[in-house]
Order: sequence, then structure tokens, then C-alpha cells
Amino acid sequence: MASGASFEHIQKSYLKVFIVLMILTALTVGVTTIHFGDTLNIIVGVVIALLKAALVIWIFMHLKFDNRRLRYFVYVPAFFFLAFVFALTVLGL
Amino acid sequence: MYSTVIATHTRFNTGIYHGKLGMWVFLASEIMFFTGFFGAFIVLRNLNIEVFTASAHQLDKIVATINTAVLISSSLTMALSHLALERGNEAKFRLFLAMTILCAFAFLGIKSYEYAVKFSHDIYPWTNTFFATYFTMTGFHALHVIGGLIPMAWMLGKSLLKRYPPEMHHRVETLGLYWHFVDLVWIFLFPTLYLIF
Repeated sequence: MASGASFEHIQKSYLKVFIVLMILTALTVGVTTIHFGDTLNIIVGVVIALLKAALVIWIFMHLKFDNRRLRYFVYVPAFFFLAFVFALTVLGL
Repeated sequence: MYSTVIATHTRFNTGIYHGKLGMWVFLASEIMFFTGFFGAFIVLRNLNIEVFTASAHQLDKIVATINTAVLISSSLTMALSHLALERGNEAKFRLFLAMTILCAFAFLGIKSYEYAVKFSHDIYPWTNTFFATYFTMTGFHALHVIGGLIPMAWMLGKSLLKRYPPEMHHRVETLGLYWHFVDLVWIFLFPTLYLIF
């Protein structure tokens, strides 16, 4: 954690992340009423989910403030997760 | 006291304390655990697209959206609870931890309601492959929520009965990592099951 920053400052940044997460949730639900076509709807849904995940990992899970090498614990399994899901989806489309 | 300091001391070779490193290793394995479910979901969907589309429309989007908001709120209060303890404010730590616990119970309550509605419509895990994966994925996620509730209740109880000293804030941070991960899984489950297919 960035121990130099004040309580209020960090609290404010957590609240900001929370608000953005809520907006993105509303957005991901909202866009389902619009039909871009099946593939594009899936892409939009996944991109919003990835944005939300990045915010949670980066701020709430403190990865932004942690040791750089620790980030590989996210990057490596996340890469396999995405590669696996992407490969299976493309095979089926 | 001495052992607590040693256990949470930042190591020079890894740059982080052991509890955090251990939790991240566990979470990396958890990502792969849930990847299996997502993989199964996609493969089964590719084989039964009509069944999956029709079944996904039977799910209650509104209730799931409320549950998403509840879980995101619990992530916020969890992060604030750790921050409060780190800064030595145990009363605030208890307040935010209690709020997190309430959100977790609310999530499980809403999830039970969803399951109950499905059962009352004669929809069970064996109804079709969509509902088999739906109940498996959300069921395992709910088990993770329960798994997070137990140490949270323990920490709150300890703080109420005795004390939860700020020196032990690392344990709350480690539990927070797990809790945010549970939120993270839901962030992917929600669009996959309810929205995009």
C-alpha cells in the first residue's frame, strides 16, 4: 500500500474505483439491449469485464503499489485464461 | 507479538511478506480452477447454441445486477476495512468489516432466492447442459463467498471480544486479496451467464 498517502486520499481513490465499477456494471447491462450482432456483443461484454477486473486488481488488490515481480502471478494465469477462452470461442464461432 | 512481526515482515528476496505471496500463489491456482469451468461452458455452448441461448434468457438479469452491485460494495468495504486497521482505527475496521459481512450475507440470500425461483419452475442442474454449468459455476462461487465469510466473522469476533491489533493488518489485507478475487470471478460470471450469450 502507498503508506505515504493520507487516509482520506486513499479512501477517495477507493470510492472513485467503486463508482467506476458501478457505472461499468450499468453499462454492461445497458448494452445488452442494443444488438450489435452476436460476436460484437460478446466482445463488448468481455472488454467491460476486463476493465472492471483490471480496476479491482490494480487498486483494491494493491498490485499498483506492490512489488513488480508479484504482477506475474496475475499476468501468467490471466494469459492462459484468456488464451484458453479465446481459442475455444474462436474454434466454435 | 514477536512472532507476528516476523511473520508479516517484508522479505528482501521477494519484496513482500509470506502471507501475501502465499495468497497470490493460491489465487493463481484459483484462476486456473475457474478457467476449467469457463472452458467447459464455452465448449458445451458451442455444441448446443440454441439450448444455451434459450436457457440464458430464463435467468433473472435484474436480480443478478443487484447482486453484482452488492458484491462490488462488499469489495469497497473490505478495502476500506483494511485501510482503517492499517491506520490504527480499529472501530472503523470493525464497522467496515461488519458491512462486508452483511453484503456477503445479502449476496448469498439473493442467490438462494434465485435458486429457489429456478427450482419452483422445475429447473435443476440436470435440466440441460446450460443449467448444469450455471449451477456448477455459481455454486462454486457461492462456496467461495462462504469460505470468505468464515475468517471475516472470526476477525470481527476477535476484535469485538478482545482486540484486533493494527500490527495484524496484513492478515486483513491477505483476506482482502481473496475477497476481491471472489468479486473478480463474479465480474466474469455475470456477463458470461446472464448477459452476452
